[in-house]
Amino acid sequence: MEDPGPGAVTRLLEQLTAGDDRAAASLLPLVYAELRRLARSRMAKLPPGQTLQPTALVHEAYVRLVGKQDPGWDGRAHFFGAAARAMRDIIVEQARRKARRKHGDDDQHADPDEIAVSIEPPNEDLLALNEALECLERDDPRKAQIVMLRYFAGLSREETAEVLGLTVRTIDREWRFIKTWLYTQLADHPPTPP
Amino acid sequence: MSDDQFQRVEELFQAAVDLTPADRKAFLAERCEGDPALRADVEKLLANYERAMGDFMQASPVESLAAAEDEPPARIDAYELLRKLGEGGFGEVYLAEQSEPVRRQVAMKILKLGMDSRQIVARFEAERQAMALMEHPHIAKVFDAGTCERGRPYFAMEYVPGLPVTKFCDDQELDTQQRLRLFIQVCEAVQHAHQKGIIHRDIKPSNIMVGLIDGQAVPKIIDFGIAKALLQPLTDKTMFTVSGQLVGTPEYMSPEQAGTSGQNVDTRTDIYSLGVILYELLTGMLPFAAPAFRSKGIEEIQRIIREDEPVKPSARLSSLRSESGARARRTSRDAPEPPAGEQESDTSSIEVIAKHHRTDPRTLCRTLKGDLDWITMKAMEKERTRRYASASELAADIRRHLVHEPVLAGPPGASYRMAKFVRRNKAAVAFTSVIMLALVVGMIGTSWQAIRATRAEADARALAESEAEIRGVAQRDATRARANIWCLHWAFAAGSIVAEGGEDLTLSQTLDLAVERIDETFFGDPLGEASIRSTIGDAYRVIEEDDSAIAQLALAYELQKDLPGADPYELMRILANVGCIERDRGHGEEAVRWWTESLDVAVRFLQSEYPRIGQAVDDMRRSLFRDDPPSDQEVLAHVNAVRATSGDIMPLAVGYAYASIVVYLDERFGTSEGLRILIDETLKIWRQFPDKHSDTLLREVIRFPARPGDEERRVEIARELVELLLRTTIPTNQLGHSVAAGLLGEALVQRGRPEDREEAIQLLVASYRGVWGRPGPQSPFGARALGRLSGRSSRGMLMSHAEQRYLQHPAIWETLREGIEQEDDPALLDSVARAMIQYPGLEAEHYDIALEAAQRADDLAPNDSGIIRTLGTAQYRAGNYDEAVLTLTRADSLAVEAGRGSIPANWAIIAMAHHQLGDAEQAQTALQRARTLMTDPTASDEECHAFFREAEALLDGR
Repeated sequence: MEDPGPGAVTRLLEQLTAGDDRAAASLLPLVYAELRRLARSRMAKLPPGQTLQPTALVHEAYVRLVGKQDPGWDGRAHFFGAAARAMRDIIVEQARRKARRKHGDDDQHADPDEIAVSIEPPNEDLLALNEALECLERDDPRKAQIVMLRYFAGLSREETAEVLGLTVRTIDREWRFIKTWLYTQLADHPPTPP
Repeated sequence: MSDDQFQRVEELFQAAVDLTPADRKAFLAERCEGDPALRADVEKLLANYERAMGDFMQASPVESLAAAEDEPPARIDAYELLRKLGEGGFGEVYLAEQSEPVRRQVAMKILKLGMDSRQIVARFEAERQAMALMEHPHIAKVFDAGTCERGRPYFAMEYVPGLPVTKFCDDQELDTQQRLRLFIQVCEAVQHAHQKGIIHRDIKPSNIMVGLIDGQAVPKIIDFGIAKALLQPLTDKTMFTVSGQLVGTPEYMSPEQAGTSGQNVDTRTDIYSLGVILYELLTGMLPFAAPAFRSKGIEEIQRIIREDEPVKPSARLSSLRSESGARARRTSRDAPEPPAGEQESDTSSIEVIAKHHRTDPRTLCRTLKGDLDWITMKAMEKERTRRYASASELAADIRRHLVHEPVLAGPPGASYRMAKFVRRNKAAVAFTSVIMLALVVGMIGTSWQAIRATRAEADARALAESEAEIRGVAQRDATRARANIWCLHWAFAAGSIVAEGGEDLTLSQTLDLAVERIDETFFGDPLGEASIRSTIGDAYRVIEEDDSAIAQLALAYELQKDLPGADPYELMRILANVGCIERDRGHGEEAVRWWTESLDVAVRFLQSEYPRIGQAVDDMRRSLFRDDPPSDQEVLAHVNAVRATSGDIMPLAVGYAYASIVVYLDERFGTSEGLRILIDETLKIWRQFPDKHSDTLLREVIRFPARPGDEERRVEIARELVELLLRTTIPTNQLGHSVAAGLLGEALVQRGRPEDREEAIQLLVASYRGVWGRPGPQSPFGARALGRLSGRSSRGMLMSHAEQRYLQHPAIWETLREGIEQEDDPALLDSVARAMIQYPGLEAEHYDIALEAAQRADDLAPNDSGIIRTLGTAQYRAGNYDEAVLTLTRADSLAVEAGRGSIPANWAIIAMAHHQLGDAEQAQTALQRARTLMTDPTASDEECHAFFREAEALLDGR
């Protein structure tokens, strides 16, 4: 994809802030491409033992695409919303690709040497989660937004609250419902083992 | 679900979630009246709330993204990369197919660029030799190392499908016992590598993959030998940082690895890491809380690893419980309050953790308290000298815990172990344990050090030198032996049992006296009485007073068999012990009866403690105890069925059960392949408890192959037993050591190979010294050893002539002579002398020793016709023909006086003496007399026949 230049994203954010929703369709691919590119280059340069945090990735993308001009609170919210969706797309796409290639025992030799104690969820879980998230999106789009920001983009509670213009307390309340609801969805429809 | 409905569900959920379970119920009943579907939706959410707040969605999914962006090369050398298996800080792991020299799937670990690839590969090459020696089913092999075109180093390893051990255990919801069994297998693999000189240095759950093979969880350790290649320049100083950044997995890193002191890493580093994994398997948590740990700076993390004491596993869990309880109380009282972000994972996961163990939080805490706390903390000691010395020691302690034995790890001091030992009864403690001490203390060290010294140098050194060594040991032990006797006397004095001038009592008399006083000492205390009777019964057995032994042991059994506090293992042991005695003296049916009773106890115990195993063993008993011999396949099928219920580790009770079945089958149907299978199986079980009081079981099992054609096997088993005991560091089974040395010596003699001669003799002499090297008449095991040395096996079975010859060695005779001087038991002296004079054709000096023994026996017990006959025979063998005639004539008239009648053997030997003196007529008369007496079958035994045949041959000039 052709590099749209540093100003492109800022312009799109301004359009969005002004109420031009069509700009969203142009913004997403830009953010998406930047995130992929960043992920690749950061991972390759990462010294042994270090891990890549999604939130760092998103923030770096912001600095690179928006630069020092402040697009305003609304513009930032649009950017992070787009970035969170892009992260979700990238991750889900990746999980699909892996799920197609694998035969159920992909997790062995997973070597979480790195600092994060967490183990990524198996692909099936991730794909099932994404389906449940699509349902949630239909019922309550804002809740889906919270999931993308917190889970896929790795934003903190405070950042999520800021992007969505809510209080941290509301985010916490929503988050516990969302997790329980998604968990219940997955428990009701467990991923079928391949 | 409509938007409206969705919103109502959320509202109700948010309102109810902060209530207590009881309040929730009332709340929902009121608010959902007439709408059961709504209520069901909310209830389902509430039911999942705790679990959803656990690990769920806690982890970021993003790592898969970043690494997956880096496309794998299609092919490296002979390996075609198929797909990525995982990735980590050092690089990625791919599944690959190797095309030559063999076609197989391998796991390829491809390192990142920027690591010093040439050095890594060179270090791997240096390690390769050692790694080639590793051959273990639970260690993944490393096949190859090299670099791919971009210069990235790679390792080709055995491909192991499975999950990291912690994840596997949680996914499969293994209970604590199953986790421990799995962990023991891991320890054994680590032990194997350590024995080959390879340290892992980076043991962590993701390096221990567990897969299901035929329904069995099979662990495999990966990356053995790789960490060294990767980290060596760092490890031996600090594996911690590379250019100021954190490397590796600090959670599993030992203090010496985290340090900067330059201390070398050794096998105990792996023990530490195993301890952390054990901690994690037991509690579901790492010893140092992960998020807080990770957020600290490098120096702080290093400090924590080196200095902070982790909280004991059980305490860690209970702290979770109380927090979680406090939170529940708080939130139900106060206004609804959303949980803070950090609290989510920890405080709510106690239920999840317990569920992963298939239990509830309370039970899980209780399970961990005590043994498992101590074992874990001992493995994780900061100071490595305080950790388990080896992985197998760690495994052995876990086994002890699994079968309710006292563990090595424990609070400081011996009080805990003593507590386990004496917990049965307070009153009996002083009495019982001191007698035990008296019997055991004297043994410690003596025979064993001697054997160790002589065995090691058997080939290289002259026997004389070894002898000197033995003598030194024996002298040192004389002191100990005096302490031993002092203990005995003290014990009896304490119980007001010793009569005036008690110092002159023999052990046998002392025991008799003790028995007399038991009733009044232990009145109203059946467990105490049972305990002391069992001890005294054992002591009687040792000095071969069979009837007294059986009487005491049977009483000990009767007294406690129905008591709730009785130790089932003690019951099994007593019964098996009586069974052994009966078998030894040829009462096969009686032996079967006792052993069968022991089997019943074992099955009952198993059924209550290990229901699945109990069921399988019970099935086996019901099926095999019948009147026709079972086929080998049947036996094998049952053994497999039992194994299927418990895997590799079995409680010792199964061993007792098997031995009982062995006794039954052997008595009824004789040797068979099925019997051998059972014996093998019993040995396998025993091998897990080399330091346990399983002597009885073991001796019985070793005895079985002692049949014609099985000599080879018997040597093997006895040798294994000796080796195992040599490795055992716990000094509770020195008695077993001595017995084992004797058994091996005996087995070697029976096999009869000339090249074994030195070793056999040294074993027998050392064993004999060990039990004999003490002053005075209290020589319980001396009798047995002396019997062996003199050519009688421990239970009076005469050895073959060839064996007798085989044993002729100066050291034997010298030892014997010394023993005879010290022995005060006329019956024993008599049997020693008889063993030697049985055979014609020994050197005159050997008969002199027999003569000494008989003379001494006669001095000690005058006018015993049997002893006098021995004396006469010895005189004949030694060439004192005149004296022999006189002595034997006196022996015979004494026998007649005693109402036993004239003995043909006496006359056969008198005939030979006359013949030697040149008086053919007297000789023929005496022989004729013997011949007449021989017609009465009750008057003659095998010994008589032997002498009579010898006399006939001599007089006929043959």
